[in-house]
Parts: sequence; structure tokens; C-alpha cells
Amino acid sequence: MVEFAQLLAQGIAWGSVYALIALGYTMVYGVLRLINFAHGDVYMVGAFIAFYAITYAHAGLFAALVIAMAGCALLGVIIERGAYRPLRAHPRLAVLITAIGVSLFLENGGQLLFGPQPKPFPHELLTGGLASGLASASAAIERSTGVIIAKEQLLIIAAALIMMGGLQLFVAKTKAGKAIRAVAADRGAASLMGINTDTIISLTFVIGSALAAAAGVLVSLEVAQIDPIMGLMPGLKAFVAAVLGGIGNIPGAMIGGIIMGIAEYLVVGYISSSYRDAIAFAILIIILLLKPTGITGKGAVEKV
Amino acid sequence: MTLTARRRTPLLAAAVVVCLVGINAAAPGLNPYLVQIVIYIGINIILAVSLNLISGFTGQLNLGHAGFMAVGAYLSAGLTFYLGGATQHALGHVGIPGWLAGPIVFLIALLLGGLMAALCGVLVGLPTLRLRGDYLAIVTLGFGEILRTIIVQLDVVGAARGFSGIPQHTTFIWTYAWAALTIIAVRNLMASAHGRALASVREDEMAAQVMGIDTVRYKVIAFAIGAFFAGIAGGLFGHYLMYLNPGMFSFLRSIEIVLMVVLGGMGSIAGSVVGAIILTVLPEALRTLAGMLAVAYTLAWVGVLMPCLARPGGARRLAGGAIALAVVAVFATLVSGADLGEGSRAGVTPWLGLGTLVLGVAAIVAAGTRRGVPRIAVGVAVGAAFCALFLFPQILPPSAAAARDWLSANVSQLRMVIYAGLLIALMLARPQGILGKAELTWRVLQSIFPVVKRRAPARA
Amino acid sequence: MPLLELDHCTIHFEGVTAVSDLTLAVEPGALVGLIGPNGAGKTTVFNMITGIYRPSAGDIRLDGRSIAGLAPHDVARAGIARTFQNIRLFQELSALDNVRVAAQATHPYPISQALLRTATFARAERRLAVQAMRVLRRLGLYHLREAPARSLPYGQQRRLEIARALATRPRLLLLDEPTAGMNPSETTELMHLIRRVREDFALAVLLIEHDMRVVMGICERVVVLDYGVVIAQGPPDAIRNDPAVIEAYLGEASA
Repeated sequence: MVEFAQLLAQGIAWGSVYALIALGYTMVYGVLRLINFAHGDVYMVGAFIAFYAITYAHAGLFAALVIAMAGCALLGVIIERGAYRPLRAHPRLAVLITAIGVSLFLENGGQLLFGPQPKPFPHELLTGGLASGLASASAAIERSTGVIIAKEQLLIIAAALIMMGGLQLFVAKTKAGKAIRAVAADRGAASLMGINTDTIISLTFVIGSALAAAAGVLVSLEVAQIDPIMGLMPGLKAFVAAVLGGIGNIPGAMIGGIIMGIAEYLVVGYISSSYRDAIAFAILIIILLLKPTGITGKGAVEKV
Repeated sequence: MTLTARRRTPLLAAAVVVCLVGINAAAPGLNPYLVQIVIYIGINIILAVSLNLISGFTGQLNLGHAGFMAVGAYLSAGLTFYLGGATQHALGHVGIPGWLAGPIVFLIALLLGGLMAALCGVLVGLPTLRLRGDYLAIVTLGFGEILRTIIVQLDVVGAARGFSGIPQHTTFIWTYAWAALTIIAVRNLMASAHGRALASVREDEMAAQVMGIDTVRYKVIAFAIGAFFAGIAGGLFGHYLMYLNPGMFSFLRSIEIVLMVVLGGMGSIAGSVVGAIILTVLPEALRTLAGMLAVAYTLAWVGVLMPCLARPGGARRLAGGAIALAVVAVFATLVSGADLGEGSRAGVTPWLGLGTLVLGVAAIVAAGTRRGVPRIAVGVAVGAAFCALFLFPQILPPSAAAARDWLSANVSQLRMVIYAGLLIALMLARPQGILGKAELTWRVLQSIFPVVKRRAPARA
Repeated sequence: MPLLELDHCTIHFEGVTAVSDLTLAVEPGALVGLIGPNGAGKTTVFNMITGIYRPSAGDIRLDGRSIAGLAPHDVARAGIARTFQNIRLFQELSALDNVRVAAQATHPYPISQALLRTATFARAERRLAVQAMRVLRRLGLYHLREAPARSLPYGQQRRLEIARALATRPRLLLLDEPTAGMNPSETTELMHLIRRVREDFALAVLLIEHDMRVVMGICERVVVLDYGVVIAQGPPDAIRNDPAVIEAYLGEASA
């Protein structure tokens, strides 16, 4: 039983990472109907920006996080403006291919610039009050339930919850958030209502990329290692998570991410670790055959 | 002599056979690296045209085509590896001579591989009953990956280590005979009632249904036929390389095939051929610095020619330009065999000169009017600059040498970055691909090369 | 026996009942109009008939045989064809091909013959082409047969949609707002065309229209729908003066 709870806890931690990345996929799909293949690589870039900020600019954890999020937000906007916007009027396949091109460009460019060898990510960054708070929480959990959960993992879960909660509030209560929902529902109508769809779409990329960067930094804290193709698998799995939750649906992405993480850890724990990646695809196929619109999705009725 | 409709098909067939036999005979004498590239081009043509049937003509985005290829590759390889020898002996006992038994066994293995792939195509096509567009694309992606995972578990075919010792059966003729068959099959299919049905599924599936077309059946048919040929391509591939490994059939490979189709133009068979040629040659050309320069040179010409090609009514010019580009692509490969050093200058220069000449002619054909002349002049100037770089590397400043050294050390990474950059640039510049929907029909050929005449004058 | 019968048909969508307890009959060869304010459910009725939606309750019968819940292509083969409110032609295909696709759906030859280019294939193709061109000629579109559908002017596109529907050799033709976007003279032409088509092709026509001139001009019977319910049925003159109909269109207190 403890083992199950242990796996569950790990799963929730990883699932939060997937959730953060999945949010970017789902938001961009919602407003542009585009599967942004390059999103997983933005996660990677976030980790690297933080790495260089900490190693060369001696930034603290929080500062590095903010710099990474800002840097990736900018990257997201550049990609959107430079590669996706010019193809708005063209068939969706062209943008999809471009997205794949951007992904390859980032991955290989990363290998060229940073070298393909993994780099150790500075640990022992959690200092001061935050670290001791997390450490005591971790100890308390272990004492009461026997579940071992590292303070980095606790940080991931806490940070992810805060960010997702913030996003949910933003989308539900603010004007900009409403605008995002409007553009996702019907871009033409939204622009007729006076919403600047270009700005909103860019905003979507900003938020999604920033969240992915945060995920990248948080994960690097725990795994303590980064490399230029670290975004490939998590990106793919986060995408499956977004589909699982109902692509285009924000709470869905969060739910989907958590479920993906838990499923992955349960499979690794109880079956075998060689199916770690395959489980993602299995979930993908199952959900697409049973309920393609995902957990939260409603059947889209085609207006004839 | 006028080539009437009735006369030209047998003539074309005869010409193709002569070319195939001739090149096959010459193959042992040619540079083996070149032969390898040519065979890969042939295999990629089969893959691209078969994918075009599914994605370009029927409009079903398929991101798992490499999976079908893998099925055909592994099944046919497994059959010849384990049962090939015994079957050949059996055939020998029945009186079939050795030189015939080998190809017969290979053919049977290929066909079985193709059929198994077709079956998988049906499996992938069936979910189309409930899935559309993006969702279907994702399923095809997932299918490709799951298939790979399954193969990794199969020890009988080497699992993750790889499957070696596959007998070599594939030759130039086998490859191009099948390439021709694929093209003919897809063309015949599309120019028939069934092809029109497939096109209607692409255009507006709901309207097609209401007009009586069983769209699910047609989508499954498209997947099955496309997968069949992909399986054949896989079989040819395995029996050429004599080694298979699941990593060869990854999502990236599927994407490469999609790129060939998109590059050439979805919905154009000639486009898929062009795309296959370019995307087989390009990565090879990018392996060396000389190759990269050659590619850059080609692109400079493309930039020069593009405005001419983009003018309205440019279908025939597009075809001319595409042929020119293909020629240059071949030329770039030849140059990439050379190397940026003193000793090879003598070998490189004549090729550059020849290349520039060919391009000049193609550009004149493509431009078609006097307005093209200034652009050609620019192109020739660019060509001259490149020649200077090749011939007199010492005119470059010393820092360039350091840059060149860094480039040499990182060629393989740089190659992928350039590849990705070209992809993005291509989509931004010409998302409909080189040929768009234009086909290389007799009418088009006639307008480029007026030697080919028709008996009846074209209708006004 | 009526050609088409809708028997107490109801359809729900996620909390909205689009059509409620609808009973309607169309006799062979009749020309019936289906009218009602926007959102009344008229196109939904068409979608139910052609198999795009399955009614939540009730039955739809063609010649006495139930067709409710059949797949759209089976409904088409049973003899019902339609046009769409927003033109849904096969844009990249030529006018001839648009019609040929519809003509061939009921009598295809096997794929193997297409691949091998047999003599049977050649003959069948010729027959199909002749059939399709005949329909095009009847609708005055022969000279545009090679043009891609997207390049045709609006009025010709509407005609092409009708030609395409006719090529399936239906016994019942459903026209969804065929005169939308047309000026009065084009509308008059189309009215004549519909009448002619009904006679030449011996079929029944069920017509959704907003243009009252068309409804009053060619329909023998009119069915009025509002909020998914039939509020009146009868000859055009009776409908014109029916208070329930007037209220539905103009709202309360029309004075």
C-alpha cells in the first residue's frame, strides 16, 4: 500500500510537469487548431536559460526561474510571429510542417550551441526558508504515511498548483482570459467583437511558453541534468495528456497531465520500466478510439 | 514524327525499359556511393507516391507511414532469412533454374510484406469511421510508434539489436520497376471513378457521403493501397541494406516522407517524385562543406528563378524549373563527393562550369521572355562568385578559415540545423510545394519540349 | 402511398430539442415547400432525412421502408439527393467531375479494372461521362464542364449543386434555400428550372425557402415549421393567410 502511495506521489509530481507543458499545447490548439510540435523544445530552452543564468550570472533559483520564463515567453512570440503567423491563411498542414521544422531547428541548434552531452544542473539551489520548509514538509509526510517524496518534487507540485490555479483564475475572471476563450471558440466572431486576435494569440504563446519554461526549470532541479533533446519525450507525453484531457480545454490539460504521470509511474512500478514510453501511446490510442474529444470534451457537432 | 496518344504509351514504356536495363548494366562500373543514392531515391519515390495517395489525394494526413514500411521490411526480411533458402531448394527440385528461383522467392517475400502492410493499413484506416482530421493524424502517429515498440519485442527479428544477414536481392531494376508500378497504379487509380471518389472525400467528406460515396470504405482503400506500396518499399530497403533496426522506422522517418510529399506538392505524383529526389539528395549533399556550398549555390539559383516561376500561367515553367532543380540536385551530389582542398579543384571546376551552363539553359526556358534576362545575369554573377570561392579559397580573410574549421568539425549537427531551416523557409516561401497540384502530363511536356506533338491541335 | 414520410420525428441536441414530434408526408412527384423563421429546424429536418442525424424518436420512411438511422450514402442510394444551404461543391474538381462523382456512386466498377485499364473500364467511363454531360447540358452548364467548381460564378455554382444531386438519379430532391443570394431574375429562372427538373426527371421536390415569391409561385403544398414544430400545412394560399404563420414570422402584435 505504501508502495502504491509512493508511486502515486511520484506520479503526481511528474504529472504536474506534464500538466504545465500540456497547458501550452492545449491553449495553442484552442486558438489556432495547431499542434505546436516545437513546444516540447521550449521546455528544453527554459531549462538551458536557467542553467546559464545560474552558472554564469550567479542568479538564485527564483531569479533564474523568472528569467527562463521571460526568455521562453519571448521565444514563443518569435516563433509565432516568424513561423506560424505568415501561414495563417494556408492549409493547416503547412503550419504543422513548419512547427516540426522549428522543433528540429531548436533541438539540433541546441546540440550545436550547447553540445550534445548532458550537462549537470546545479542542485543545492533550494536554500533558506523555502528549503527548510519543504524539507520539514517532506519529513512530516514520510513520518505519517511512509511515503518518501523529495523536497524538489514537493516544490514541483506546489509550484505547478499555484501556476495552474493562477491560470484558471486568469482565464475565467480577467478580460484577457475571456478574450482567449472567445478566440478559441470562434476567431472570426471574436475579431468582429473588437478583440485583437493577433495579440491574443501571441498572449497564448507567451503564457504557454512561460509555463513550459517553468516546467523545464523545476524538472531540472529534480533530475539534476539537462540536454538538448530532453524536450522530445516529455513534449510528446504532454501532448498525449492534452488530448486525454480534451485538447483545447484548459482544466482538461491539467487533469490529463496528472493522469498521465500517475499512469506512467504505476506501469513502471508494477509492470516494467521498458513500457514507460509505450504507455503514453497506448493511452493515446485508447482515448482516441473510445472518446476522441477527451475526458472533458463534448462531441463537436458539425454544422451542415 | 508526331507522337500521337496511341503511339506514345508503348514508346514511353520501351524508353523506360531501355533506361532501366542500360543503367542496371552500367551500375557495377559506377561509384557505389552514387548507386546507393540512386536506389534510395527509387525507394523514396515509392514511399512518397504511396503516401501522396493517402494524404495528398484522399486528404487523410498520415504521420505513421514508416510503420507500414517497417511491417513490409521486417516480414519480407524474416521470410527470406528463415525460409528463403529452403524455398529456393524446393523450386530447384521442381525444375526452376537457380537464377530464376532467387528472384521468385524475393518477389513472394516482397508481396507478402506488402500485403501484411496493407492489412495494417486497413487497421489504421478503420478508426476513420469515428475520427477526423487532426485526431486521425495523431492515431497514425501513435500506430507507427506502437508498431516499433512491438518490433523491439520480437527477438526472432533481432529486436532492438537489429536484424542482420538479410540476403541482398534488391537491385536497381527491382527498385525502379516497383517505382514505376507504384506511379502507374496511383495514376490509374486517380484517373478513374474511384480516384474521383477519393478526391471527393478530400474535398468535402460530408457532401461526398450525401452523394452516395461510402467514404469510410474509400479511406480504408486509400490506406490499404498506400500501405501496400510502403511495405514493398520496406522490403526493397531491407534487402538492399541487408540490415534492419527499429530505429530506422521512427516518427522522424515518417516525417521525412511527409516532407517529400509536401515539398513536391500534395496531390501531384510528379511532385512526389521531385520531392523524393530532392530530399534524398539534400541530406547527402549536406554531409560535406563542399556539398553545403553546392546547396547554397542551388538555392541562390532558386531564389533567382522563383519569381519567374511564380508568375501566373507558370505551370509549364514550374515543370521546367522542377526539372532544372532536379538536375542541379544531382549535380550537387556529384560535387559533394569533392572536398574543399587544393587537390580536387581540377575535378570540381568542370562540374561547376557544366552546372552553370545547364542552369542557364533551364533558366532561359523557365523565364520564357526577355524579362528573365536580368535575373539570369544575377544568377550567373552568383555562380561566378561561387566558382571564385572554390577556385581561389585564399581570397577569403583568415578568420574565415577558423570559421571553416569549426564548420568542418560540426558538420553533422549543422546539417540538421540547415535541413530544419530549409524546411521552415520552404513552408514560408511556398507552402503548396514545388509543383502544387500540377502534374507532369503530356500536355505540359509538350509545352516545354515542342518536339512532342499531338495529332489533334489543342482545343481553344 | 406517400414517397417520403416523417412519423412523429423528434431530435434532441445537448439540451435543445431542435425538432419535435414532426409528421410530414411527400407524395411522389409533389413539389412541397418547407418554410419557417430562421432556426426553426428546417435544415435539421433535411439532415435527419439524409442520414446525417439520427432522430431521437420517431421514424422516417421512403416508400414504406424505414430509412431512419441509415448512413448518408445508403440514403443517397435509396434515392434521396440534396443540396446544401452553404454551397458544398468539390471545389478543386471540375464541374464534370463533381457530377461524375455523384453519378458513379451507384454503379462503380471494381478497382482492379481501374488499375488494369480494361475495356470494361473504358466503356464504363465513357458511359459515366456521357451521363454526366447530359445532366450538365440539361442545366445549361455544359460549356463550363472543365472549369474547377470554385471558379464558377455563384449562380452557376448553385446550379451545379443541383446538377450533382440530379446525377444520383433520385426520386426525391431536397433543395436547401436554392435561391439564397440571387437577384429577382435569377430567382425566376431557377423557379422555372425547378419545375422543369421535376417534370424531366420525374421526381418529388421538397424545398426549403425564405423567398415567398418562390414558395407561392411553385409549391403545391407548404409546411410551416417554428421551433421544431409544424404549425401549419396546406396549399400556399391557405398558409399565406394563416394567423399562426403570420405570428411566427412577424412576432406578436403584428398590427
